[in-house]
Formats: sequence, C-alpha cells, structure tokens
Amino acid sequence: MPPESAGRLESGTFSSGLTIPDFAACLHMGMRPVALVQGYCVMSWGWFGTGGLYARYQGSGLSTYRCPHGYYAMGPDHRTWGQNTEQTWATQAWATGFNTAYHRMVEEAAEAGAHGVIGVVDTSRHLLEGGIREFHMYGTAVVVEGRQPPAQIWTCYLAGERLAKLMEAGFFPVSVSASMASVLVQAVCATEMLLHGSWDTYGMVNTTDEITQVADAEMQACRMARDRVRSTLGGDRLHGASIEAGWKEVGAGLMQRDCVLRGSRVRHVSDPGPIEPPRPVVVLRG
Amino acid sequence: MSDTAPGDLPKDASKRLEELEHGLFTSDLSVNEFLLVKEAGFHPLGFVMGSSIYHTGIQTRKWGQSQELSKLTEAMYNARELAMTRMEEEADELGADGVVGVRLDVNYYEWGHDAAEFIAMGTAVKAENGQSYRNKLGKPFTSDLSGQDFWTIMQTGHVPQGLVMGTCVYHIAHRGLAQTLGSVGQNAELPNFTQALYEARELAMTRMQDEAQRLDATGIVGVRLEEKSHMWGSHTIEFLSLGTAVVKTADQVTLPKPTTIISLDN
Amino acid sequence: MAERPVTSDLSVDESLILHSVGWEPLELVCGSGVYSIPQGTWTWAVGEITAATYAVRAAVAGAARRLEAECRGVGGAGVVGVEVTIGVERHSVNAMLVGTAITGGARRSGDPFVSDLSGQDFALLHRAGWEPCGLAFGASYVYVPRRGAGTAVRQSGQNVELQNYTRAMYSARESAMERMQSDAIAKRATGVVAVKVAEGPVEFAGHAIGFLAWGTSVRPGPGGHNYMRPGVVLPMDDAVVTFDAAHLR
Repeated sequence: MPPESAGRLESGTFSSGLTIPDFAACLHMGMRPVALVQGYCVMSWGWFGTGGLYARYQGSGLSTYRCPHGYYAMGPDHRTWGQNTEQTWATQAWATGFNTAYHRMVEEAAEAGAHGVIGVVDTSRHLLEGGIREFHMYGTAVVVEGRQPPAQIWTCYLAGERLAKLMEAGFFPVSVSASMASVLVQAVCATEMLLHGSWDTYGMVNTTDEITQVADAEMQACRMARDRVRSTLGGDRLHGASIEAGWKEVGAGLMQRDCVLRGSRVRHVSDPGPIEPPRPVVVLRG
Repeated sequence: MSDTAPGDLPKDASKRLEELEHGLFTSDLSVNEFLLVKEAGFHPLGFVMGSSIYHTGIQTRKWGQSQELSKLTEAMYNARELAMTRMEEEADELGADGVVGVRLDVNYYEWGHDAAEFIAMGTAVKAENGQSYRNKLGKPFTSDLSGQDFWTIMQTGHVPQGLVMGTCVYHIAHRGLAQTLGSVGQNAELPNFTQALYEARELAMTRMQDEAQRLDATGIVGVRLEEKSHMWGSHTIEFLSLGTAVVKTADQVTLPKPTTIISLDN
Repeated sequence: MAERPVTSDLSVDESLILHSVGWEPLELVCGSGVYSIPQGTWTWAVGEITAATYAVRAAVAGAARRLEAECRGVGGAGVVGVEVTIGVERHSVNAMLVGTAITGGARRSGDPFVSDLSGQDFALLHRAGWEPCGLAFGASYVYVPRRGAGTAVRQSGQNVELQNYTRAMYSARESAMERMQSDAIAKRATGVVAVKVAEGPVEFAGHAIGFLAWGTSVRPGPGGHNYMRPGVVLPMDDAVVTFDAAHLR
C-alpha cells in the first residue's frame, strides 16, 4: 500500500463515494461510512512465453474446425484447419490484476478499521496500445454499528436501497466476484470467407451458412468465465451478474473474444419466510 | 380538411392482418397494460399501424409578418390524418371496437430532403361482452390513453371516442433591425412573440375542439400541447394539440375507493 | 435450494416476486448466433435487402436455440429478462441473448421458453394464468427508393404525400411485424405481448433501413385467464414536479 494512503485513512474525517440517497440508506441500515478505499494494479499484457511461433496457440484447445474443401485446389493462403483455444495467459494475468487490486483495496479498508466495503466499482483498461493493462477498484468502507469486526472484510458491488433489499431478503454479501476468459480464434477457411461476405464457387461454403466457429467462441468465453466464477462460490449465490464482452483482431485470420463476468457473491443467512404475492394496484399518480 | 385516403393497404399488411383475424393477437402494450385492458372487459386483437411520407418543405412567406402558414398546416394535418386513417383501416379490418395506446411519431431521414414520415401505431381492442363501442361515425375509437389510463377512465363511466388533434404552423416575424436595436439590454416583453404564440396555440386548440364536437363528445381528456420546429429553423413552429375525446355513458362510478398512501421512496 | 451454486442477473425485486409465485433462478445463460452478409448486399438497389433480413433472423434464431440448449442443460423451464443485442456489420451479423434460467411451478412439457419479460412481468402473467412460449422476432431491411420522384415533387413546390416512399416504408414495417407473428404461430402461441419496434438507417449504409420487431409470445394456461381485480391507490405525497422549459428546436 502506498505510504500516502496511510495518512488519509487515519484521519477522523470520512470520505465516501456513495451518492446522497445511497449514503442515507447506508446510515439507515446501521452502517457508518469511514473511508473511500481503493486498490490499483498495473500488469504487463502480452504473450511472453517461449517455444516458437505456435506455442502461443498451445493453450487449452476448445474446438477444431476442418476445411470442407478436401482435394480441391485452393489458393496458397487457404487455411485448411482452424481452432478455438483458451488463452490461459490472459485469463491468469487478468485474475492476478483483479485480485491484486482487490486485496490492496481491502488492506486500505482494514487500515481504516472497516467491516466491509460497499458500492465497489472495478474498471480495467488498456494503455499503450494494449501492452499494459491497469486494474482499478474502489468502494466505500463501512463499519456496522454495534458489531465486532468480522474475521474477513466483506465486499459488495451494491449499495443503498438495493443492498438493503438484498439483506431484507435474507442474503449477506461475501465478496465481489469476477473472472475473465479469453478465446483465441484461428479462423478456418470457411470462417474467413464468411466473415468477408464471400463464398466459394464449389458450393461448399454458402453465405447462408452459420459462422459456427465465431458463435462457438462467444459461447465458450461466456461459459468459461461463468464456470470459473461459479467454482469459487462454495454454497453461495452470485447475485446481479453482468457480462462485458468484445472482439479484437490480433492478426491475419486471428481474433480474440474476451468475456468478463462480474457479480456479488452473497450468502443465504436467514429465511424471509413465505412471501405473499403482492396485491396489484393502479396508482393514480398524474 | 383531409383529402380522402386511398383504401389500399400494402399487401404485406393484408397478410399480417389475416393472421391476426385467425386468432393470433399482438400488442405493444406492456404486460401491466395488457392485463388492465382485460380487466376493463376488452381483449387485444393486434398491433395496428399506419404511415405516410409527406413533403413538408416550407412555402414562401413574408419575412416581416407573423402569420399562419396555412399550406403547411394543411400538409401536417393531412399527413397525420393519412397515417391515422390507415391505422383505423387496419383496426376496422380486424373488427375492432377501438385502438388504445396510440403513438404519433415523426421520423426524418437524411435522404428525405424536406420530407418527413408520420407514423401512427397502437393496439386494436375489442369488447369481450359483444357490445359495440364504436364511435358516432361508426369507426373504432382511437385514443392515446395507456392501458392504465384506459382502465381508469372506463371505471369513471366515460368511454373514449377518438384521438382528436388540432395543428397550426406559424411563422414568427423576424423583428426589424430598428426594433432589435431598441430593445437590446432591456428586460421587456417581446410583443411580437407573445401575440404570435397566443394566436397559434388558440388556433390549434380550437381545431381540436371542433374535431371533438364532430364526435358529439362530452369532453377531451389528457390534452397535451406540443411545439416542434421540425426542420424549418426557429422562426417557424408547429403547434400540435392532442387529446382523447370521451363520452359519459354511466352515472355511477365503479372505480374502487382509492386507498391514500404516503410513499416512503422517492 | 439448488445444490449447484446459483448465478443470476435478476434484481432483488425480481427474485422476490418470482419466489412469491414459486419460481427460482438457476443460472445466468447466454446464446450467440453469427451469420454472414454477402459482399454487394449494401449496394443501393430496389426493394427488400433479403440477404440482410435473412442473416439477422438466422442470427437471432441461432442465438435463441443455443440459449434454450443452455437452459435445458441446467434443468431450467425457461429464461427470463433476456437482453437482446444485435450488431450488424458490413459482412456479418452477431446476435447475443443473455438472461437467467428459472425453474418452478408445474413441470412443463416441451422446449424451454425464451422471453424478454422481466421477472415482475413474468410473475404477473403467471398469476393471470398465461404462459410464455418463446421469443417472437421479425426483421426487414429495405433500400430507400431512389430520389427521382422526390426531386420532382420538391421542384413543384407542393406539400403532398410521397406515395412510393410511403409504400416502401409501410411494406417493410408490416413485413417485419408479420414475420414476428409467424414466429409466434410456429410456437403455437395465442399472442405476442410487449412488442418492441426498433427502426433506423444502417450505420455504414445510409440508404438502407432496418426494421426490427420482437416480443414474448404467450398462450393461456389450462385454467384460462384469471381476473385479478386491482385495487386503486392515491398517493398523498406531493408528486415531484420537474420543470422542463419547452425549447424550440
């Protein structure tokens, strides 16, 4: 933790990143904001492995695609084989960046004597044309009035009314959870053609065909990110999940699909009992 | 004031309406609205729409005079009427009693110089008890009431008759240079503007009321006044007044006595 | 409670309302569909751009199919709160559907349903005795008619209807809606609710316009429609009035 933050955290004045309504709701729930805390981590971003040109593609193979052209004479650039691979280096680097920023934020919260951190915002962006990726996470550290500090500081993306409702419903936050999966697509001939809106004269690749390799990559990235997050949940639930995903060209016939899944890990601590379906009403509000 | 609309809906419309007549319904009402329309004793028949692309380029006008641009008024009125009439035709084809949730939109396209598309969309409904709710002119009623407002107004013993509108395109004179110099730096009323805006709004509202009278309505609910410059610059404005004409049919009000609450959320 | 940890993108309100009618979230699921748009498609011509229409519909259908498969894989009866994202590029269309698979109530036969209804809307419909059948989707892409007629009219200085333009736009909208209806009929639905209509020029080809219409297809359950007799509420707190000065564009 940088030495500058220690001074800020020890002073008696609090700062808080919450909006006014969230701040009021927070006090109403018996939580007192003590500090705005943050964690930061910059990772170098790229494939640094050894083993020649094709080692990069030796990550976990997910699916392969065969060219349908067989013995037909195709041009010299023709790709007879394609593959979707998980870029494990990217997944691991992202996990390291995220977790490091997270732990630094929690350290600051501990320094401020907090029980938990609410309203967490986490961002990640590339700098210097993708060679560097920075991870930034911040939130409002709070103390629960009249309670002992917990064994482990809990964190949550939610704040305010949404957090209050979550707790009323019998859940308590454990931590923010996120994971990224990156799938590298080495396009087979059919995929390449279809992505350029062209087709072959032999009738084996038609423009009405699905671009399966690309759709598969999207599904694979989303599933892997979700499965990775799910494997860390224990018996808890992931609430308020959201997906952020995108495509990037990384070379000729090479594309990358990144998918980040974020959510709040929450634990079921009490049963609100059977809930009556609400009575429908029409509100006479102008 | 409207020119007679051709009774020709495109063939795609006919095919779509046929499917609706065979029992399928579509509606752009939200789920809440759909259920309230049912509570009011009506069933949605189908999503209906009408549109018209109209040339709305500006006519010549005297720079120094505030006046209604009657040709443009007529054009805006006709365009919307055409769109509404086509929508009513679709509703008629389905055997509807009325159309609720009517939206009147205007689209401008960069390729459509001086032209705009007027679209009317809504959900056609029919009474489940077999009684006819068509208006005095024998046409399905149109209304821009939401599902919630439709249910509420029916509970008060009023039935919608039609969406009524009045429009007026007004040009506001550019003040002479001398006048401009005279009022620089003063907080004074700009009589030109006041007079012009007053007259224009009155014209629009009077025309709307005339339409309601033609339907033998008891009154107009939910009146709103819109002002648009479309693409004519800031000295030419269209004043549009819209509302739903209703007729009182019953004396007792079946609306349940409301519970008063103070809401604790903002 | 499910043994498998639950992941869900439902809000707390949605989860509680679903719980009150006996339904629970299972898992966040997604489906993707990607199709090609042949070269030359966007070159200005006349009438419908059939290749683009086909690609968009196929992409959404493919995404829905994969979403249903994911839902089936976790034992869900259907997916709610589906967010539909469609990206049209020059040579491809990408559709992605993301939602939460839910389970509960009587064991349904048939395919899992895909619906863009929120948890609250699903619960309301359920109480009214209706069940969702699936996502109904329709699309239509057209070329704007050539300007010939428009130019002539402008020169004549008259304010009249531009009939060939009207016909082209009208037809395209109706086609999109009709295709959505066919989707609903194919799923043996009685109707489509909460239809959303999106239209606009294609970003990189201004002379092409796309019309999309989608909603959730539904049919009444075995018990028929359930009337709920809503109460009426009159709030006594002063409504917040926001003053918005009407501005002349």
